[in-house]
Amino acid sequence: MTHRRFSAPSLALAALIAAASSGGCFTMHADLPGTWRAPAASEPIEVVGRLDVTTSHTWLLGGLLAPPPSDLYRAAVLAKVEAAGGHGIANVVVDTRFTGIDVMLRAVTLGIVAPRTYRIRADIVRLSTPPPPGAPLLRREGARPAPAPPPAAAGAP
Amino acid sequence: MLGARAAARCLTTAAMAACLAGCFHHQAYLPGVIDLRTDGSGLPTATRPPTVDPRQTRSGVEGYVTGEGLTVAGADVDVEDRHYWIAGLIPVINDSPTPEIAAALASSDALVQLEIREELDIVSVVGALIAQLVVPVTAWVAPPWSFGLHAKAVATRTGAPTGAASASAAPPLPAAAPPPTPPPAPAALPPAPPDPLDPLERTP
Repeated sequence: MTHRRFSAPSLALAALIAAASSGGCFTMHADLPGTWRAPAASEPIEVVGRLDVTTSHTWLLGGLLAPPPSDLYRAAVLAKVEAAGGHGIANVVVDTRFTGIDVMLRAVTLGIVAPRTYRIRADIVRLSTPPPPGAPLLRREGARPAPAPPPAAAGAP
Repeated sequence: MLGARAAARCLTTAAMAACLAGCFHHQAYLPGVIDLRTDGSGLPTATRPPTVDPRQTRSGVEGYVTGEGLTVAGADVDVEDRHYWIAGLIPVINDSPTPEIAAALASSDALVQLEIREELDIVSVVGALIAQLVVPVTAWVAPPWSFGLHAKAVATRTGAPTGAASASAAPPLPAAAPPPTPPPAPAALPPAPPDPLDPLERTP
């Protein structure tokens, strides 16, 4: 019984296609601006809206080329928070996935074109504490001072 | 040189993985609040080292398989969590980074320069390709995808209360109201729920 042998170039090509198809090398680094902290139980926080931003990024050659920019979420998040009159976001949920269309495109092109979908959801909130020192991120925050913390309730001990 | 059968098996597995790639769905919940009014660059770097919950730090083989979890170097706080799926669809082994993220938040007064990472590194890919030549069934689970988070610990001096004691004990915010009908008045936070994963369940 004889086996057909494969040459080194064809094996290398097969390995490349296999790598691109079964994984590739997807590396996403996304900055989230601001100051992340855990609020105290007594801190009043007002939810003024909902943030839901979905974006797609197309990778090439199984994720080896064309990584997404580090400000993938930044502009959209700041614009939504500003539009809602908020000061920040809370309960942030970050999703990344290949949608059905992403999977189909990736399979048809053997991983050469590989879109991936990125989504960030959160509550847009208004905070009662003064803003931390630093460069303003929201335009209206830069134009006017942050609201002072609420005065203590009358009659409070 | 590999035989035709081995090469065919390699290509068949790759094709199966491509067709059944699934969605490799990562979901990460970040508790707490991100204050977007400023970038926090005026806050001083934390003088005391961030507190590390030893239950969220892994090393050795466990650290390689599931990621090192929460690690701290000076003021730098890192989370690395590796995730596996069957056929890219069904999460198995360490399917949520939430405990490590909550521990990262609890490690200091506040964190700035927050960076979220997701990666499928080349070492994992090559390792998975070698593993599937030896044990073909591993093609259904490997390679793992990593979720990571990096931030810098800072000390707050604004008087704003922080959750340095325990982020997991900090109560989450109330569920979001639809944008057109915001709540009429500021509401105090409700008591802490028993499970920090609950906010994920209410997501659509």
